[in-house]
Amino acid sequence: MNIAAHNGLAEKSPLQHDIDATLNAFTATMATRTFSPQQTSDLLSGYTFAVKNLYDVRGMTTLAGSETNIDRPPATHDAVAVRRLIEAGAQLRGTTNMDEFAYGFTTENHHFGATRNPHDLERSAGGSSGGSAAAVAAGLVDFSLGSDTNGSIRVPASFCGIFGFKPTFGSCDMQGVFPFIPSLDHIGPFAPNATLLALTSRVIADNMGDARLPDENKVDGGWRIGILSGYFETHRSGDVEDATEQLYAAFPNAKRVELPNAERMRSAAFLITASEGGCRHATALREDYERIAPGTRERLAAGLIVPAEALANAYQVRRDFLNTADSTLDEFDIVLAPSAPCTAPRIGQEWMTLDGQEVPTRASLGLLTQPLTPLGTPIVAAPLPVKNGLPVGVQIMGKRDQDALVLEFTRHLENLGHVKSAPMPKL
Amino acid sequence: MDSATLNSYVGAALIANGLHVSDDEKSRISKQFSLILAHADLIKDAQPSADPEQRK
Repeated sequence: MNIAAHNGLAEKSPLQHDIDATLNAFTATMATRTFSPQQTSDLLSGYTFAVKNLYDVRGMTTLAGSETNIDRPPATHDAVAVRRLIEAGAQLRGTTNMDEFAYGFTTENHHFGATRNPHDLERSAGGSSGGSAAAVAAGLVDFSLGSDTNGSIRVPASFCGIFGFKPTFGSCDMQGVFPFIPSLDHIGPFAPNATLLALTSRVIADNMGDARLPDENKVDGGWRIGILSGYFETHRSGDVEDATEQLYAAFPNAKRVELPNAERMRSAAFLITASEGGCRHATALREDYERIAPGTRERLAAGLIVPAEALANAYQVRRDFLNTADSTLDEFDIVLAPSAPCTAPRIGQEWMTLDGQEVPTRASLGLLTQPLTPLGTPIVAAPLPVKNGLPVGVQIMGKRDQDALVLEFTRHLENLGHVKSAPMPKL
Repeated sequence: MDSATLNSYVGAALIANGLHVSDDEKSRISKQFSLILAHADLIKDAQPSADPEQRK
Protein backbone atom coordinates (compact mmCIF):
# COMPACT_ATOMS: atom_id res chain seq x y z
CA MET A 1 0.00 0.00 0.00
CA ASN A 2 1.47 3.35 -1.00
CA ILE A 3 0.70 5.47 2.02
CA ALA A 4 2.82 8.37 0.74
CA ALA A 5 0.65 8.58 -2.34
CA HIS A 6 -2.42 8.18 -0.16
CA ASN A 7 -1.41 11.22 1.83
CA GLY A 8 -0.43 13.21 -1.24
CA LEU A 9 3.12 13.54 0.01
CA ALA A 10 6.49 13.55 -1.66
CA GLU A 11 8.11 10.22 -2.29
CA LYS A 12 11.21 9.27 -0.34
CA SER A 13 14.60 10.68 -1.32
CA PRO A 14 16.80 8.20 -3.26
CA LEU A 15 18.99 7.45 -0.22
CA GLN A 16 16.07 7.08 2.12
CA HIS A 17 14.27 5.02 -0.45
CA ASP A 18 17.12 2.53 -0.87
CA ILE A 19 17.68 2.03 2.83
CA ASP A 20 14.07 2.17 3.82
CA ALA A 21 13.13 -0.28 1.11
CA THR A 22 15.20 -2.67 3.19
CA LEU A 23 14.08 -1.60 6.65
CA ASN A 24 10.48 -0.49 6.09
CA ALA A 25 10.82 2.05 8.88
CA PHE A 26 8.73 4.81 7.26
CA THR A 27 5.08 4.79 6.31
CA ALA A 28 5.32 8.22 4.67
CA THR A 29 8.07 10.72 4.06
CA MET A 30 7.91 14.40 3.42
CA ALA A 31 10.55 16.39 1.61
CA THR A 32 8.70 19.66 1.43
CA ARG A 33 7.99 20.70 5.03
CA THR A 34 11.19 21.98 6.52
CA PHE A 35 11.40 25.08 8.64
CA SER A 36 8.18 26.23 10.12
CA PRO A 37 7.15 29.84 9.84
CA GLN A 38 6.49 29.53 13.57
CA GLN A 39 10.07 28.62 14.40
CA THR A 40 10.86 30.31 17.68
CA SER A 41 14.32 28.96 18.55
CA ASP A 42 17.26 27.22 16.95
CA LEU A 43 17.78 24.62 19.67
CA LEU A 44 17.28 21.83 17.15
CA SER A 45 18.27 23.61 13.93
CA GLY A 46 19.78 21.23 11.44
CA TYR A 47 18.36 18.13 13.05
CA THR A 48 15.93 15.91 11.17
CA PHE A 49 13.30 13.78 12.81
CA ALA A 50 10.43 11.37 12.24
CA VAL A 51 7.38 10.50 14.31
CA LYS A 52 5.49 7.29 14.94
CA ASN A 53 2.39 7.41 12.79
CA LEU A 54 0.10 7.93 15.76
CA TYR A 55 1.14 11.59 16.06
CA ASP A 56 -0.99 14.12 14.20
CA VAL A 57 0.96 15.72 11.39
CA ARG A 58 -0.84 18.53 9.65
CA GLY A 59 -2.05 17.43 6.22
CA MET A 60 -1.61 13.72 6.87
CA THR A 61 -4.01 11.07 8.05
CA THR A 62 -3.07 9.72 11.47
CA LEU A 63 -3.03 5.97 10.93
CA ALA A 64 -1.90 4.53 14.26
CA GLY A 65 -0.81 1.56 12.20
CA SER A 66 -4.32 0.61 11.19
CA GLU A 67 -6.11 0.34 7.89
CA THR A 68 -9.29 1.27 9.76
CA ASN A 69 -7.98 4.85 9.99
CA ILE A 70 -7.18 5.33 6.31
CA ASP A 71 -10.50 7.01 5.59
CA ARG A 72 -10.09 9.52 8.38
CA PRO A 73 -9.55 13.11 7.26
CA PRO A 74 -6.02 14.52 7.37
CA ALA A 75 -5.02 16.19 10.62
CA THR A 76 -5.56 19.92 10.62
CA HIS A 77 -2.84 20.59 13.23
CA ASP A 78 0.42 19.05 14.30
CA ALA A 79 0.44 17.24 17.63
CA VAL A 80 1.78 19.54 20.36
CA ALA A 81 5.05 17.60 20.64
CA VAL A 82 5.59 17.74 16.88
CA ARG A 83 4.85 21.46 16.82
CA ARG A 84 7.30 22.13 19.65
CA LEU A 85 10.10 20.30 17.81
CA ILE A 86 9.42 22.18 14.58
CA GLU A 87 9.30 25.46 16.47
CA ALA A 88 12.75 24.57 17.83
CA GLY A 89 14.04 24.29 14.27
CA ALA A 90 13.93 20.53 13.67
CA GLN A 91 12.91 19.27 10.22
CA LEU A 92 10.17 16.67 10.06
CA ARG A 93 11.00 13.98 7.50
CA GLY A 94 8.15 11.55 7.87
CA THR A 95 6.04 9.13 9.84
CA THR A 96 7.09 5.68 10.92
CA ASN A 97 5.76 2.17 11.11
CA MET A 98 4.32 0.68 14.31
CA ASP A 99 2.25 -2.19 15.64
CA GLU A 100 -1.42 -1.66 14.91
CA PHE A 101 -2.92 0.68 17.55
CA ALA A 102 0.45 0.39 19.39
CA TYR A 103 -0.65 -3.04 20.65
CA GLY A 104 2.53 -5.11 20.26
CA PHE A 105 6.28 -5.35 20.74
CA THR A 106 7.55 -6.32 17.28
CA THR A 107 6.29 -3.86 14.62
CA GLU A 108 5.14 -6.70 12.42
CA ASN A 109 2.29 -4.76 10.92
CA HIS A 110 -0.19 -6.81 8.91
CA HIS A 111 -1.08 -3.89 6.62
CA PHE A 112 2.23 -2.08 6.29
CA GLY A 113 4.75 -4.90 6.72
CA ALA A 114 7.40 -5.64 9.33
CA THR A 115 10.11 -3.14 10.20
CA ARG A 116 13.50 -4.84 10.09
CA ASN A 117 16.24 -4.40 12.63
CA PRO A 118 19.17 -2.47 11.08
CA HIS A 119 21.62 -4.70 12.97
CA ASP A 120 20.18 -7.94 11.59
CA LEU A 121 17.59 -7.70 8.85
CA GLU A 122 16.07 -11.04 9.77
CA ARG A 123 15.19 -9.73 13.21
CA SER A 124 12.55 -7.47 14.70
CA ALA A 125 13.22 -3.82 15.41
CA GLY A 126 11.00 -4.17 18.48
CA GLY A 127 7.76 -2.34 19.00
CA SER A 128 5.44 -0.83 19.02
CA SER A 129 7.61 2.16 18.04
CA GLY A 130 9.88 0.00 15.86
CA GLY A 131 9.90 2.26 12.81
CA SER A 132 11.03 5.24 14.88
CA ALA A 133 13.82 3.24 16.52
CA ALA A 134 15.05 1.66 13.26
CA ALA A 135 15.08 5.04 11.49
CA VAL A 136 17.43 6.48 14.13
CA ALA A 137 19.59 3.36 14.40
CA ALA A 138 20.12 3.40 10.62
CA GLY A 139 20.84 7.13 10.54
CA LEU A 140 17.84 7.97 8.37
CA VAL A 141 16.96 10.78 10.79
CA ASP A 142 18.77 12.34 13.75
CA PHE A 143 16.05 11.57 16.28
CA SER A 144 12.45 10.43 16.40
CA LEU A 145 9.37 10.25 18.59
CA GLY A 146 7.66 7.12 19.83
CA SER A 147 5.11 6.25 22.46
CA ASP A 148 5.33 3.86 25.40
CA THR A 149 2.37 2.22 27.14
CA ASN A 150 3.96 -1.04 28.25
CA GLY A 151 7.51 -0.63 26.92
CA SER A 152 7.02 0.51 23.33
CA ILE A 153 9.95 2.94 23.46
CA ARG A 154 12.21 0.93 25.77
CA VAL A 155 11.98 -2.42 23.95
CA PRO A 156 12.77 -1.11 20.43
CA ALA A 157 15.52 1.16 21.80
CA SER A 158 17.08 -1.95 23.35
CA PHE A 159 16.78 -4.07 20.20
CA CYS A 160 18.11 -1.31 17.92
CA GLY A 161 21.01 -0.25 20.16
CA ILE A 162 20.02 3.39 20.69
CA PHE A 163 18.72 5.62 23.49
CA GLY A 164 15.02 5.99 24.23
CA PHE A 165 13.22 7.92 26.96
CA LYS A 166 9.87 7.49 28.67
CA PRO A 167 9.37 10.70 30.66
CA THR A 168 7.37 11.07 33.86
CA PHE A 169 3.71 10.23 33.24
CA GLY A 170 1.78 13.37 32.37
CA SER A 171 4.84 15.57 31.83
CA CYS A 172 4.31 15.91 28.08
CA ASP A 173 1.25 17.30 26.36
CA MET A 174 -0.44 14.38 24.58
CA GLN A 175 -2.74 16.50 22.45
CA GLY A 176 -2.73 15.15 18.91
CA VAL A 177 -1.44 11.71 19.90
CA PHE A 178 -3.71 8.76 19.08
CA PRO A 179 -4.39 7.14 22.46
CA PHE A 180 -4.07 3.48 23.40
CA ILE A 181 -4.43 3.16 27.19
CA PRO A 182 -4.69 6.72 28.53
CA SER A 183 -3.78 5.74 32.11
CA LEU A 184 -0.49 4.25 30.89
CA ASP A 185 0.34 6.17 27.69
CA HIS A 186 3.60 8.12 27.52
CA ILE A 187 5.38 9.84 24.64
CA GLY A 188 9.11 10.28 24.27
CA PRO A 189 12.13 10.44 21.96
CA PHE A 190 14.75 8.11 20.49
CA ALA A 191 18.27 9.44 19.87
CA PRO A 192 21.74 8.11 19.08
CA ASN A 193 23.31 9.79 22.11
CA ALA A 194 22.35 10.98 25.59
CA THR A 195 22.88 14.66 24.82
CA LEU A 196 20.38 14.75 21.95
CA LEU A 197 18.01 12.57 23.98
CA ALA A 198 18.02 15.17 26.75
CA LEU A 199 17.70 18.09 24.36
CA THR A 200 14.67 16.68 22.55
CA SER A 201 13.09 15.59 25.84
CA ARG A 202 13.43 19.10 27.19
CA VAL A 203 11.75 20.54 24.10
CA ILE A 204 8.69 18.27 24.22
CA ALA A 205 8.24 18.33 28.02
CA ASP A 206 6.00 20.89 29.62
CA ASN A 207 8.45 21.98 32.27
CA MET A 208 11.48 19.84 32.98
CA GLY A 209 13.55 21.04 35.89
CA ASP A 210 17.31 20.87 36.25
CA ALA A 211 19.51 18.31 37.97
CA ARG A 212 22.77 18.88 39.74
CA LEU A 213 25.80 17.88 37.74
CA PRO A 214 27.35 14.51 38.63
CA ASP A 215 30.53 14.12 40.61
CA GLU A 216 32.68 13.22 37.62
CA ASN A 217 35.19 11.40 39.82
CA LYS A 218 32.61 8.80 40.81
CA VAL A 219 31.09 6.21 38.50
CA ASP A 220 27.79 6.62 40.29
CA GLY A 221 28.09 10.39 40.00
CA GLY A 222 27.45 10.66 43.73
CA TRP A 223 23.93 9.34 43.39
CA ARG A 224 22.42 6.35 45.23
CA ILE A 225 22.10 3.40 42.86
CA GLY A 226 19.78 0.42 43.18
CA ILE A 227 19.76 -2.69 41.00
CA LEU A 228 16.47 -4.54 40.62
CA SER A 229 16.87 -8.18 41.60
CA GLY A 230 14.50 -11.16 41.81
CA TYR A 231 12.01 -11.00 38.95
CA PHE A 232 14.28 -8.66 36.98
CA GLU A 233 17.22 -11.07 37.26
CA THR A 234 15.26 -14.23 36.61
CA HIS A 235 13.82 -13.13 33.28
CA ARG A 236 17.07 -12.55 31.39
CA SER A 237 18.64 -14.45 28.51
CA GLY A 238 22.37 -15.17 28.73
CA ASP A 239 23.28 -12.23 26.48
CA VAL A 240 21.24 -9.82 28.57
CA GLU A 241 22.59 -11.20 31.83
CA ASP A 242 26.20 -10.83 30.67
CA ALA A 243 25.76 -7.26 29.44
CA THR A 244 23.79 -6.02 32.43
CA GLU A 245 26.04 -7.68 35.01
CA GLN A 246 29.03 -6.05 33.33
CA LEU A 247 27.38 -2.67 33.88
CA TYR A 248 26.32 -3.49 37.43
CA ALA A 249 29.91 -4.42 38.27
CA ALA A 250 30.84 -0.79 37.72
CA PHE A 251 28.79 0.12 40.82
CA PRO A 252 30.31 -1.72 43.78
CA ASN A 253 28.31 0.37 46.23
CA ALA A 254 24.98 -0.26 44.53
CA LYS A 255 22.38 -2.21 46.47
CA ARG A 256 20.34 -5.05 44.97
CA VAL A 257 16.69 -4.58 45.76
CA GLU A 258 13.63 -6.66 45.03
CA LEU A 259 10.49 -4.94 43.88
CA PRO A 260 7.73 -6.90 45.61
CA ASN A 261 4.96 -8.27 43.42
CA ALA A 262 6.54 -7.24 40.12
CA GLU A 263 5.19 -10.40 38.47
CA ARG A 264 1.69 -9.71 39.78
CA MET A 265 1.95 -6.16 38.52
CA ARG A 266 2.89 -7.48 35.10
CA SER A 267 -0.23 -9.65 35.07
CA ALA A 268 -2.32 -6.69 36.19
CA ALA A 269 -0.84 -4.50 33.45
CA PHE A 270 -1.60 -7.24 30.92
CA LEU A 271 -5.24 -7.34 32.05
CA ILE A 272 -5.67 -3.58 32.21
CA THR A 273 -4.16 -3.17 28.75
CA ALA A 274 -6.33 -5.91 27.27
CA SER A 275 -9.51 -4.59 28.85
CA GLU A 276 -9.00 -0.86 28.31
CA GLY A 277 -7.65 -1.53 24.82
CA GLY A 278 -10.72 -3.58 23.95
CA CYS A 279 -13.02 -0.87 25.27
CA ARG A 280 -11.04 1.84 23.46
CA HIS A 281 -11.58 0.08 20.13
CA ALA A 282 -15.03 -1.36 20.79
CA THR A 283 -16.66 0.67 18.04
CA ALA A 284 -14.02 -0.35 15.48
CA LEU A 285 -14.47 -3.97 16.55
CA ARG A 286 -18.22 -3.77 16.01
CA GLU A 287 -18.20 -1.77 12.80
CA ASP A 288 -14.91 -2.57 11.09
CA TYR A 289 -13.83 -5.96 12.42
CA GLU A 290 -12.48 -7.37 9.17
CA ARG A 291 -10.24 -4.35 8.57
CA ILE A 292 -8.48 -4.75 11.91
CA ALA A 293 -5.60 -7.13 11.36
CA PRO A 294 -5.68 -10.75 12.47
CA GLY A 295 -3.47 -10.90 15.52
CA THR A 296 -4.79 -7.56 16.76
CA ARG A 297 -8.55 -7.96 16.53
CA GLU A 298 -8.84 -11.18 18.50
CA ARG A 299 -6.74 -9.72 21.34
CA LEU A 300 -8.91 -6.58 21.40
CA ALA A 301 -12.10 -8.65 21.27
CA ALA A 302 -10.88 -10.87 24.12
CA GLY A 303 -10.06 -7.73 26.08
CA LEU A 304 -13.53 -6.35 25.54
CA ILE A 305 -15.07 -9.29 27.41
CA VAL A 306 -12.76 -9.39 30.44
CA PRO A 307 -14.89 -10.13 33.53
CA ALA A 308 -15.35 -7.12 35.80
CA GLU A 309 -13.98 -9.03 38.81
CA ALA A 310 -10.69 -9.72 37.01
CA LEU A 311 -10.32 -6.06 36.09
CA ALA A 312 -11.16 -4.91 39.62
CA ASN A 313 -8.48 -7.26 40.93
CA ALA A 314 -5.98 -5.84 38.46
CA TYR A 315 -6.66 -2.29 39.64
CA GLN A 316 -6.25 -3.43 43.25
CA VAL A 317 -2.92 -5.06 42.45
CA ARG A 318 -1.81 -1.82 40.80
CA ARG A 319 -2.77 0.23 43.87
CA ASP A 320 -0.96 -2.17 46.21
CA PHE A 321 2.09 -2.27 43.97
CA LEU A 322 2.36 1.51 43.77
CA ASN A 323 2.14 1.86 47.55
CA THR A 324 4.86 -0.72 48.11
CA ALA A 325 7.13 0.33 45.27
CA ASP A 326 7.30 3.95 46.37
CA SER A 327 8.63 3.01 49.80
CA THR A 328 10.93 0.28 48.44
CA LEU A 329 12.56 2.59 45.94
CA ASP A 330 12.62 5.70 48.10
CA GLU A 331 16.24 5.24 49.18
CA PHE A 332 17.55 5.35 45.62
CA ASP A 333 18.09 8.17 43.14
CA ILE A 334 18.57 5.75 40.25
CA VAL A 335 17.41 2.17 39.76
CA LEU A 336 18.73 -0.15 37.04
CA ALA A 337 17.08 -3.11 35.29
CA PRO A 338 17.35 -4.73 31.85
CA SER A 339 15.15 -3.18 29.14
CA ALA A 340 14.12 -6.46 27.56
CA PRO A 341 14.50 -10.09 28.59
CA CYS A 342 16.37 -10.98 25.38
CA THR A 343 17.96 -9.59 22.25
CA ALA A 344 15.84 -9.00 19.15
CA PRO A 345 13.91 -12.12 18.12
CA ARG A 346 13.57 -13.20 14.51
CA ILE A 347 10.69 -11.70 12.59
CA GLY A 348 7.80 -14.13 12.84
CA GLN A 349 9.31 -16.02 15.76
CA GLU A 350 6.40 -17.43 17.74
CA TRP A 351 8.22 -18.95 20.72
CA MET A 352 11.44 -18.34 22.60
CA THR A 353 13.24 -19.92 25.53
CA LEU A 354 13.53 -17.88 28.70
CA ASP A 355 14.67 -19.12 32.06
CA GLY A 356 14.51 -22.66 30.67
CA GLN A 357 10.90 -22.37 29.56
CA GLU A 358 9.27 -21.98 26.17
CA VAL A 359 7.25 -18.75 26.23
CA PRO A 360 5.30 -16.88 23.54
CA THR A 361 7.70 -14.35 22.03
CA ARG A 362 5.49 -11.33 21.38
CA ALA A 363 3.74 -11.35 24.73
CA SER A 364 7.01 -11.83 26.63
CA LEU A 365 9.10 -8.98 25.23
CA GLY A 366 7.57 -6.53 27.70
CA LEU A 367 8.19 -8.67 30.78
CA LEU A 368 10.66 -6.18 32.27
CA THR A 369 9.10 -2.92 31.13
CA GLN A 370 5.43 -3.64 31.85
CA PRO A 371 5.69 -3.78 35.65
CA LEU A 372 7.53 -0.44 35.79
CA THR A 373 5.22 1.59 33.54
CA PRO A 374 2.43 2.09 36.12
CA LEU A 375 4.94 3.81 38.43
CA GLY A 376 4.87 6.75 36.02
CA THR A 377 8.57 7.31 36.62
CA PRO A 378 11.08 8.64 34.07
CA ILE A 379 13.04 5.79 32.46
CA VAL A 380 15.82 5.93 29.90
CA ALA A 381 16.49 2.81 27.88
CA ALA A 382 20.23 3.00 27.22
CA PRO A 383 22.32 0.76 24.95
CA LEU A 384 25.08 -1.28 26.55
CA PRO A 385 28.38 -1.78 24.77
CA VAL A 386 28.26 -5.24 23.22
CA LYS A 387 31.39 -6.34 21.35
CA ASN A 388 29.77 -9.07 19.32
CA GLY A 389 26.17 -9.93 18.89
CA LEU A 390 22.96 -8.02 19.04
CA PRO A 391 22.27 -4.86 21.08
CA VAL A 392 21.17 -5.06 24.71
CA GLY A 393 19.59 -2.23 26.69
CA VAL A 394 19.32 -1.20 30.33
CA GLN A 395 16.52 0.77 31.99
CA ILE A 396 17.73 3.73 34.03
CA MET A 397 14.86 4.80 36.25
CA GLY A 398 14.49 7.74 38.61
CA LYS A 399 11.78 9.15 40.80
CA ARG A 400 8.74 10.86 39.32
CA ASP A 401 9.55 14.37 38.04
CA GLN A 402 13.28 13.68 38.29
CA ASP A 403 13.60 13.44 34.51
CA ALA A 404 16.57 15.80 34.37
CA LEU A 405 18.48 13.69 36.89
CA VAL A 406 17.88 10.48 34.91
CA LEU A 407 19.00 12.13 31.69
CA GLU A 408 22.06 13.66 33.36
CA PHE A 409 23.04 10.33 34.89
CA THR A 410 22.70 8.70 31.44
CA ARG A 411 24.97 11.35 29.92
CA HIS A 412 27.47 10.71 32.73
CA LEU A 413 27.46 6.96 32.01
CA GLU A 414 27.89 7.64 28.30
CA ASN A 415 30.90 9.87 29.02
CA LEU A 416 32.44 7.02 30.98
CA GLY A 417 31.70 4.52 28.18
CA HIS A 418 29.31 2.39 30.21
CA VAL A 419 26.44 3.03 27.81
CA LYS A 420 26.93 3.62 24.14
CA SER A 421 24.94 3.36 20.92
CA ALA A 422 25.66 0.32 18.80
CA PRO A 423 27.84 1.13 15.78
CA MET A 424 25.71 2.22 12.86
CA PRO A 425 25.21 -0.75 10.55
CA LYS A 426 26.15 -0.64 6.86
CA LEU A 427 23.01 -1.12 4.83
CA MET B 1 -12.76 -23.19 33.26
CA ASP B 2 -13.08 -26.14 30.86
CA SER B 3 -13.00 -25.67 27.12
CA ALA B 4 -16.75 -25.98 26.55
CA THR B 5 -17.55 -23.47 29.30
CA LEU B 6 -14.90 -21.13 28.00
CA ASN B 7 -16.25 -21.21 24.45
CA SER B 8 -19.76 -20.78 25.70
CA TYR B 9 -18.81 -17.77 27.80
CA VAL B 10 -16.82 -16.17 24.97
CA GLY B 11 -19.62 -16.68 22.46
CA ALA B 12 -22.26 -15.20 24.74
CA ALA B 13 -20.05 -12.31 25.86
CA LEU B 14 -19.18 -11.37 22.29
CA ILE B 15 -22.84 -11.27 21.29
CA ALA B 16 -23.71 -9.27 24.41
CA ASN B 17 -21.07 -6.75 23.34
CA GLY B 18 -22.42 -6.50 19.82
CA LEU B 19 -19.72 -8.58 18.17
CA HIS B 20 -20.86 -11.18 15.67
CA VAL B 21 -17.98 -13.22 14.32
CA SER B 22 -17.38 -16.56 12.60
CA ASP B 23 -16.70 -19.75 14.53
CA ASP B 24 -13.05 -19.67 13.43
CA GLU B 25 -12.70 -16.14 14.72
CA LYS B 26 -14.45 -17.08 17.94
CA SER B 27 -11.93 -19.86 18.40
CA ARG B 28 -9.01 -17.42 18.01
CA ILE B 29 -10.62 -15.02 20.47
CA SER B 30 -11.10 -17.87 22.95
CA LYS B 31 -7.39 -18.64 22.73
CA GLN B 32 -6.53 -15.05 23.61
CA PHE B 33 -9.16 -15.02 26.32
CA SER B 34 -7.51 -18.08 27.88
CA LEU B 35 -4.26 -16.14 28.11
CA ILE B 36 -6.07 -13.30 29.85
CA LEU B 37 -7.69 -15.72 32.28
CA ALA B 38 -4.28 -17.21 33.09
CA HIS B 39 -3.10 -13.75 34.17
CA ALA B 40 -6.37 -13.16 36.04
CA ASP B 41 -5.82 -16.40 37.91
CA LEU B 42 -2.43 -15.20 39.16
CA ILE B 43 -4.01 -12.20 40.89
CA LYS B 44 -7.40 -13.63 41.87
CA ASP B 45 -6.61 -13.20 45.57
CA ALA B 46 -6.36 -9.41 45.27
CA GLN B 47 -8.81 -7.75 47.63
CA PRO B 48 -9.55 -4.10 48.25
CA SER B 49 -7.90 -2.99 51.47
CA ALA B 50 -10.00 -1.82 54.39
CA ASP B 51 -7.19 0.47 55.47
CA PRO B 52 -7.93 4.02 54.22
CA GLU B 53 -4.17 4.71 54.07
CA GLN B 54 -3.80 1.88 51.59
CA ARG B 55 -6.62 3.16 49.43
CA LYS B 56 -4.95 6.36 48.32
